[in-house]
Amino acid sequence: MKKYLAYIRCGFLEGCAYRSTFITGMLANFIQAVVLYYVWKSIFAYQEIVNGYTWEIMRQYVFVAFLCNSVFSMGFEMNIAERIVKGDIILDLLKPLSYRGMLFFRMLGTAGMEFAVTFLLIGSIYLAVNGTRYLSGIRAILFLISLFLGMGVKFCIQYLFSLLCFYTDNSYGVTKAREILTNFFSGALIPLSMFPGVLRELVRYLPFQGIVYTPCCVFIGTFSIEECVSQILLQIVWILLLSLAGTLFGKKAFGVISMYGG
Amino acid sequence: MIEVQDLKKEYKIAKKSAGIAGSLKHLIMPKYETLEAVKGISFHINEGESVAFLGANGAGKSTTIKMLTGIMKPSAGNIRVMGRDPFANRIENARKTGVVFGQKTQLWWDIPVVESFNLLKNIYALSEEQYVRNMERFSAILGLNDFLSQPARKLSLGQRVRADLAASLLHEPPVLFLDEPTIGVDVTAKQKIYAFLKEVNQEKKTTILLTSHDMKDLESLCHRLIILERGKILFDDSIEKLFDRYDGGMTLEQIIIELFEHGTDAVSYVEEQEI
Repeated sequence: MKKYLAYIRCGFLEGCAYRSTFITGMLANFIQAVVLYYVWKSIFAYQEIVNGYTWEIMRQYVFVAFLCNSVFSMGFEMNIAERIVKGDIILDLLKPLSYRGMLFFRMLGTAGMEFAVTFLLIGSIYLAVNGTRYLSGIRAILFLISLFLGMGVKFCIQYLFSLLCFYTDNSYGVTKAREILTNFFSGALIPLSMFPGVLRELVRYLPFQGIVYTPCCVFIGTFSIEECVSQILLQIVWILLLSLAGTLFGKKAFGVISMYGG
Repeated sequence: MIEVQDLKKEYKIAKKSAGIAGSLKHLIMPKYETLEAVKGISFHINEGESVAFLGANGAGKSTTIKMLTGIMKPSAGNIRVMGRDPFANRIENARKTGVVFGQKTQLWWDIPVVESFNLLKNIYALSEEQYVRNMERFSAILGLNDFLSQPARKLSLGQRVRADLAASLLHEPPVLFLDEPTIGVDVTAKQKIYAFLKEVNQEKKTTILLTSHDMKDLESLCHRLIILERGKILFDDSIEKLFDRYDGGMTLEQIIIELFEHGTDAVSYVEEQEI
């Protein structure tokens, strides 16, 4: 276990290495969150209730969803994908530990810094807009659990997509496809309950809701406590299924490593 | 220590004709051809041996090393490193081997080099005492102290390679695979590196398998040569035997050039030996 913790440390240091990248990234986050907020505000100015959501709920959802989606962002994923394409992955495979475990903890370290700052930034905007009146202790705890599990779901999906890079050289395409898919189906852009009939049903059977929609609903209270627990269990089931898929696919993918020359 | 039997590796490579038309054609109907990088080689290396892989570009040296380290699956054949199949037991194998790919680096690009070493200490669960002892020794020989606090991206090629070498030896592996470990290293540092490797080889009975294009250094470090040519073994014996075969006065470099140019004679030489 100690060796994995050492990877968190290195990941964290790596995340801190570029101050300007970090600051501009945060600035972009801030602008994006504020823009989303005003877009929804103008929608609700025309209509009081949109698919069962009131402005009261939506102005919480915007920020919580943003926070949930900001963990394990795309930069790190591009990096892994490129290591596969360029063949540098062989250096990771020369270490006596699980490749996937190593990635997870390294990512946790890199995301730790990013997340802490996003948490403070988005948290303060949330409080400035909503105040403390919607906060509840139990929900906050359940939210943190669900958020952490959501990171697990997201990581499993990212891992599966990164393995595709053994078969294609287009690391950018693979990561972008992953991002668009999760952004849309996780509820990061639009709450899933606003989806039209068939799509709404479909999304129930996909793992993506666990990344954003589940923790969001846990926090803002659109789930009852029983629903929260069952949805959290569902997240765990998805993590197990997706990691099994990752293991099976990984076995196949690592067999095709082939590089000539250096 | 290392046993290899009928080892083969085939690559599937895309076959594109030249020009725009060729590229478009490939887009719709891709054609592949198989390239045999390693065509069924066998050899056996005992504990404590230091063996050099020699061969022209594309002879299959790196491919063989990648299969020996367990990161690439052979197309056919058997490998045993310390009794284990390296691909099936990657993690176990990695614990017992040290690897340097001179073209690549295992150092973390954006964080100080010393952090990379610290990470290795945790990965291999080294004791503080062992870590400090080895770091001091490597720093003295390889001159690491000058750049330990720099991130790897700021190092020169020679510095980077020296740090990579130290990183691969930190956990004192019984087997060491070195693929062009002295790229970009200046002459004096190179001398030091080979003297150091020789010491490791003799003191700890570390088995060393390396590829390089630098004949002089190979000569001083390795007692045995395996010469590869287009995926086949041309010659596998001690360096003295190679000298015996040619008239005195030729340097190793001249012999190798001779060998590459008239490869078939050498094959028959190996066959004679077997009879």
